[in-house]
Amino acid sequence: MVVELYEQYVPVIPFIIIGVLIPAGGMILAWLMRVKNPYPEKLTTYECGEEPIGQAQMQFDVQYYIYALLFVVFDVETVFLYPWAVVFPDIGILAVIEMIIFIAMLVVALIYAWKKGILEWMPLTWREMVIREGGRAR
Amino acid sequence: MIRRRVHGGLYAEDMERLYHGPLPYLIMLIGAGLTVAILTGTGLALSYVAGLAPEGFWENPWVRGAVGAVLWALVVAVGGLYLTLVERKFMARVQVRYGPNRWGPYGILQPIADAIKLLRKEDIIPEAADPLVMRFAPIIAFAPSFVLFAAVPWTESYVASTMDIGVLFIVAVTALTPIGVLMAGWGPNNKYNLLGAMRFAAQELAYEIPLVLAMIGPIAAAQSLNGVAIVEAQRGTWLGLIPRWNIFPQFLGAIIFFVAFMAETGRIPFDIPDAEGEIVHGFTAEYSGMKFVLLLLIEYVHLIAGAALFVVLFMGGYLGPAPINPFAWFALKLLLVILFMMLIRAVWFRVRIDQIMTLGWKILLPAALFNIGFIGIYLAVTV
Repeated sequence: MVVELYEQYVPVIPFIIIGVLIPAGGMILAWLMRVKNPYPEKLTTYECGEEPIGQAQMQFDVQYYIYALLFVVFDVETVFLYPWAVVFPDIGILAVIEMIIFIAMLVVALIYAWKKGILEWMPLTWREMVIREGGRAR
Repeated sequence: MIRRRVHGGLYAEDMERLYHGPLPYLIMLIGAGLTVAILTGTGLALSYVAGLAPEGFWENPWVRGAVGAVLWALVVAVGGLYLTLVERKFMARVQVRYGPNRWGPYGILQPIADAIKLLRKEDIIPEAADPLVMRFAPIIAFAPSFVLFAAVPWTESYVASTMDIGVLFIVAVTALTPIGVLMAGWGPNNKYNLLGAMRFAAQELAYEIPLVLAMIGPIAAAQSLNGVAIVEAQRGTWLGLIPRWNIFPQFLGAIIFFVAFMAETGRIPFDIPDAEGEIVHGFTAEYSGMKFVLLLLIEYVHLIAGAALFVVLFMGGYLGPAPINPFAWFALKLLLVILFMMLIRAVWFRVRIDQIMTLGWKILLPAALFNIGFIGIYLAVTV
């Protein structure tokens, strides 16, 4: 068992080393070759010529945290599906029916999420946002 | 008549004749023949070299890993470099333009000129940025997308790692790339970068599930997660004519997989993470020089990886009739899938972010779930 694991996973190590070496080596090569002439105007943050207002490292309204929750649900489902996929043709139609029941339960969850409207990107329209901010909707 | 001199000694009228006559098609045919010949020759040369090694040499996991890593590094580096030219040229053909034609015949030296230019380019790290995060982002984004090739079988014998969980390993490793991209979005302290990275993450979330679910079909057909086993399960033909590729019985799964991996690479129908017109190439906006190249290269590495996976899972990997050897078959199928993706990029348009999310969550996900039930019944009946 240990020998098998050794034979299967040792080849990944050179891949990791080279996978790090390609970008690192490229960056070092570029560091040796490139022009270096920084001055204050060049080092400002690029924003199409405008003066940036505030930082970009700020609290950001991540639209999709509920997507992420849903993602976790289905990701765990795949963990169950992969071992099932390897063995089910041996067991036959019974295993298929069981898995369809399992998937059906998740589909119910998906339908619930759908009806709740959390699959909509940007649930707030501009109009609603303006009203919420206390402005007048046009 | 005034003749307009455009290209070295050529005139516009000559160019017209050259580019719209039968010549381009002839060159394409010769090019295709040469490609097949070169690939077959390379395969034969590789198997000859492999035969020279002492007994048990290739069973050493360190040797397998190192040789595989160097080979795939060559494919990714040269492929990544030259795919840019192939893409530009191909898109130009589709859109009735010339494309790059200045450096070398048909512009074949263009990628080298680009590489030299980009190596010499000044690398700007803005004052407001977090230099450490900004420097490490390309490495962390690039390394996982390269490591996944360890489990992709080139042929039966040219596979670096014969791990039992091959496909699962690939999925797991791919999931690390968004961390690097999010670092590229956060480090430079630029709003375009942040927006691009956030969009990339949202897109990866939406399409990861259909991608992974669509893989279940080939896995179930082979009853294994190993790449070689999945390909071997597709050996043979139906009625002596149609190859037993998974793409035929599992057409729906193949489409889902194809669309999902196209979304994961973030190429044109799904390229909102680097929409040039609105957020200035997204998470690469503040990058320049080599780091920019590396972040761009990730797209091409993903392209090669996704196409390789598609070939292994649905198109019978290295299998094919004898005169062309397996090595060349795999490379040809890979090229075919990549060219098809380029064709889509050339003729399609960018879709809106809410449409992308709708396609991922409301169409592909239910379709993938349906596909599992369908494949389950199909396999339970036929096996």
